[in-house]
Amino acid sequence: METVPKKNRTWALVIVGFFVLVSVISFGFHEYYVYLQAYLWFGFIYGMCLQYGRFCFASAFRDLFAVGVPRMVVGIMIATVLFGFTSAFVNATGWSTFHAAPTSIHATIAGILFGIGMVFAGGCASGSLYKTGEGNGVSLLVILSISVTQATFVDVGGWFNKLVPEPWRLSAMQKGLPESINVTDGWIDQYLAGYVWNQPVLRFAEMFGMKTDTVMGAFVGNLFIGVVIPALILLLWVYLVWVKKNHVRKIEKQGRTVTFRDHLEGFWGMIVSSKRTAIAGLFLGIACGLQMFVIEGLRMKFGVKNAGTLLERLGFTYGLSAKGTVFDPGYWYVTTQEAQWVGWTMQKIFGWNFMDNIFFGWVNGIPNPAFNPADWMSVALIGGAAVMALLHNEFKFKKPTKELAIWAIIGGFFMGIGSRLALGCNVGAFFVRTAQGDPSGWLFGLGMIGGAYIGVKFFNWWTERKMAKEMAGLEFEL
Amino acid sequence: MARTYLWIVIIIVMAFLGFMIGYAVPPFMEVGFGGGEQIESGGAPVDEELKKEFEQLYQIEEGSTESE
Repeated sequence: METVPKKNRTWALVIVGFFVLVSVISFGFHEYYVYLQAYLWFGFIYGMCLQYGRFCFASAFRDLFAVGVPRMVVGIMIATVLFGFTSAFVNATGWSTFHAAPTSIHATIAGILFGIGMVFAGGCASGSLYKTGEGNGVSLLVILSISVTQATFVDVGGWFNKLVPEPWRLSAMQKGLPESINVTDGWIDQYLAGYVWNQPVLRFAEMFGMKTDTVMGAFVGNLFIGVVIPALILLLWVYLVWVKKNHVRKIEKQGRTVTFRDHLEGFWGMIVSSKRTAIAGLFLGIACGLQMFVIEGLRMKFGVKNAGTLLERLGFTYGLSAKGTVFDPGYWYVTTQEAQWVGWTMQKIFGWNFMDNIFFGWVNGIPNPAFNPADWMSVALIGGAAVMALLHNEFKFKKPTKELAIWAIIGGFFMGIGSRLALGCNVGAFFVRTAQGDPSGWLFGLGMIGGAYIGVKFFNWWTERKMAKEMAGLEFEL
Repeated sequence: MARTYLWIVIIIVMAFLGFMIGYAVPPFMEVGFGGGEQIESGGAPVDEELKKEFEQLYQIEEGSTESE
């Protein structure tokens, strides 16, 4: 850290200075901007934590399946449990901004597509953001691909309407959506209103007869049953499949018989080996819980339930949904705001009407990215990651090669589709949901792990095939 | 040296975080800690005029009369 060039240090301060300036000036305009600033500074913290911990779901499962290194997977599981703990505290007080998602097999299918995509792209949704902050051009392409795919996918109709099952169409028509939302034109519209909205919304606490906003429900139902036990099962699986063999070999080399205590030590060794990711996870968990607390407090202070009201009061009505709302989750999210800025750009510049679909027109809106709270979070996340990378001498502009660019676009495409089917990415659909005791998060996670496995196997096959071709060409030349 | 810069960044972030927490805590103090159910029913009221404005927001632009 001591050998960091002066240029890096200066740039780090310039980036922080920019966010400070935005915060101070916007607050000078109106105190409502504190709401957007909350998103900004929590995004900044997420960026710093992600870069420090190299917190990437794609790397985690690729390392595990391709080379048998479990460090990152373990770190992510620890982070999930820690976030679960802070969430349980927030949930118990009844101030959580979290809303559970519908639970059904769609989450697993979406997770498979997302998992394949993140391995192809070489980074998950949050990983691509922090890597962009490190100057990685491939990751920026991944973000662009995810964004464009999502914005297009939620609006696509025409021939795709023929692929909609009739029960979905009929059910969607019965939802009483306003005329401005053309619910029978759009595959995603009918998928959401005709299928997803009909699925049960569950939390582990309620499944076991408890209430989420009680100490018992939050800590026993959602945290212990919904987070700790599944995470332990996953960690045990990782230990048994990838870690145990080497650990046993080491002990047998010492001429000892392996005992249960040895396995416990091996398991603990696996846990503490991912120190950096776990530390990042600890701070991520605290920040995520704190963001929910701060946003809920600000909502109460300003007397609003959604940032759309604040934007309307500030005079920004363009892009508000038919309900007068904008995307305002109140916690960490990645992909929806990426779709929004593309939606806003395409509607504003190319005149494409995005407000006739459920995703934009009924739920999230397409506010100007300059006043979109969640966009402030993502931009600041990239900034936070850049600052951390600069101060650790890990920042470097990397131009994508043609091959990597193609993989980035394909991977981003799959992640974009998966995100919209699951109503979130590895953060919104997995990390946040699992930590809140939402079973749909684990369903998405199972799919994502399966998808990552398929992605790794396909990549191995592709690389071997390519190398065989190159070798054959070399032999011919010789 | 870089470590010092990192601490400067952390202090700035903590300062803003503290500022926002300072903004967020008073409403909770008014409601009372641990009163989650109260908040559900007794959150800060939204102005009636504002509600009407939202209801009419798209009706004016698109002639739609339906709402949720």
